[in-house]
Amino acid sequence: MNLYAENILEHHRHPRCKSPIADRTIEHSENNPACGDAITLELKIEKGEITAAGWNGSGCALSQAGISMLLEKISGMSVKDAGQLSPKDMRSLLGVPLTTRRLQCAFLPLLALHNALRKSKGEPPETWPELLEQDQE
Amino acid sequence: MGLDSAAIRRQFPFLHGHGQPVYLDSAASAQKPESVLQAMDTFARHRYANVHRGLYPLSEEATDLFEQSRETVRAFLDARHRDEIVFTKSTTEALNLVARSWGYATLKKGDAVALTVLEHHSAIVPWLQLKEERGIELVWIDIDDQGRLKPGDLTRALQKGNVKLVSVTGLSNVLGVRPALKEIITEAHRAGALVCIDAAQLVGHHAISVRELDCDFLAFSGHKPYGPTGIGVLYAKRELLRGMPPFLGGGMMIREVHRDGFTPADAPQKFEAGTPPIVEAVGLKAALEWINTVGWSDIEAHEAKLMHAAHETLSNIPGVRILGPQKPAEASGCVSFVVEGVHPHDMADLLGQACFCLRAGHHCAQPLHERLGVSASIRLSVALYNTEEEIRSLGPAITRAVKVLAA
Repeated sequence: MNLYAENILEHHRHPRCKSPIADRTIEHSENNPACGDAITLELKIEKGEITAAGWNGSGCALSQAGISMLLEKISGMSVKDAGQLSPKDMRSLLGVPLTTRRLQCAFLPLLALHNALRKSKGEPPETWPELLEQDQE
Repeated sequence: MGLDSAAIRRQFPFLHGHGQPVYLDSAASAQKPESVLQAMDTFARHRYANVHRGLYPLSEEATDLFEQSRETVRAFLDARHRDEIVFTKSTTEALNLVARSWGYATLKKGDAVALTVLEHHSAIVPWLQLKEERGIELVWIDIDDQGRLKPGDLTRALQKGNVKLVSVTGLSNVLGVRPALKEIITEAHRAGALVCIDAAQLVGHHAISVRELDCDFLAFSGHKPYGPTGIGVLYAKRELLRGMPPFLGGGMMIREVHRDGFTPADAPQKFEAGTPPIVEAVGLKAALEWINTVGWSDIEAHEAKLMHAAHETLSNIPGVRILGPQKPAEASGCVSFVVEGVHPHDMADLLGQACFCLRAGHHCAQPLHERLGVSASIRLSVALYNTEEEIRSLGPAITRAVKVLAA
């Protein structure tokens, strides 16, 4: 199956949740220096639940479709469950085969989410090697 | 008589495998001709030994071959002396050697290094490190929209009186433009500044005479001019090398070592600590000899045709914007572009699926991309083995990719 499958292209052309959140509780940016993908994530967290999620950014179709899909999924999710989303979950969300050269594009949305949640708890950010290690588990 | 393209292509085993892609990424690394592969293979299989160490005939023979490679490089660059050629790992290591050895020994807080916005990260970061650690100043020379260095910028920078070195690329790895090196060097020398040239791209596309240029430092890598990876060259004037402290410490770079100190060897060994890239030196020698056999006039004429075909192909595709020089005659080696509504990474991926190898990203030149106002670009780069047909066949592939991705 092709990386540029219809679901990826559909989200790329019509991104979901691509707007700022009023009274957000946390904002976090991650970028991918190799290819210039950038994502800024905004979350509203109330009583341990993500009640609203929005984003802004620019980059390749895969990273931008990925954040669009991810935010659709986490709206209404508990912070605990969202924090446990793994590279495997991200792979099934995207539903396309990933080659090594595109892993950082594909997982950038997940890194942004993990680190937004860590930031909200005052924890140090996750690094790329840490995230990619979870992909091998 | 022009270049016999078919005869050139026959010499590259890479081009002959079944279903081989169209390789348009030679600016990243070039494919190697049979003569280079064979020279390395024969040496590694039958004549291999360490150099400058053994007293037995085989080692002596390896040492001779290694030093003959240095002589080939000397002649290729038209340097005066063989000991002005230092073997390194890469262009990057050579440029770091200049900053770490000459820079640390010479530059004080308040001194400045002038750089152009065309530079590759390997000609920027070593000086940024000195900025952080020593408090030196970096002065930037800007370009116009065609990628030409702004003429007043260098003059203004030099007038400040604290510029000790100008670092300039011989050929931009993104825009393919060639700064006017001779004029820059003359002007810098008049102001008492040295000039360091990053010739990583220039070396495979045009003849270089360090004697004619009168540059102080010049660096290149083996794998761009059809040779192996793992070897690079730093040319530096003899009197400069004499005054520079060693870069790395270890074997080969010393005259004597005692418990309380050491005396370094003379250049170039002073800068070649450890066992050098011996097989790679043999390969580099074969690569430069191969270029000499083809000859610069045929190389330049063929590549000019390729650049013309590239510009013509790209400018006929709606939504494609060529960065830098709009006339193919003003660039060589590569052309970079962006496509409206399509991220370069996606374009390169789809072209890859269609069997075209092109690089996308900032090509290790982020300040240049910032200056151009784009986060990334796609680069088409050419080498002697490419054909106009290959380049023209890219046009429909780009159009198909745009159709897939454009909203």
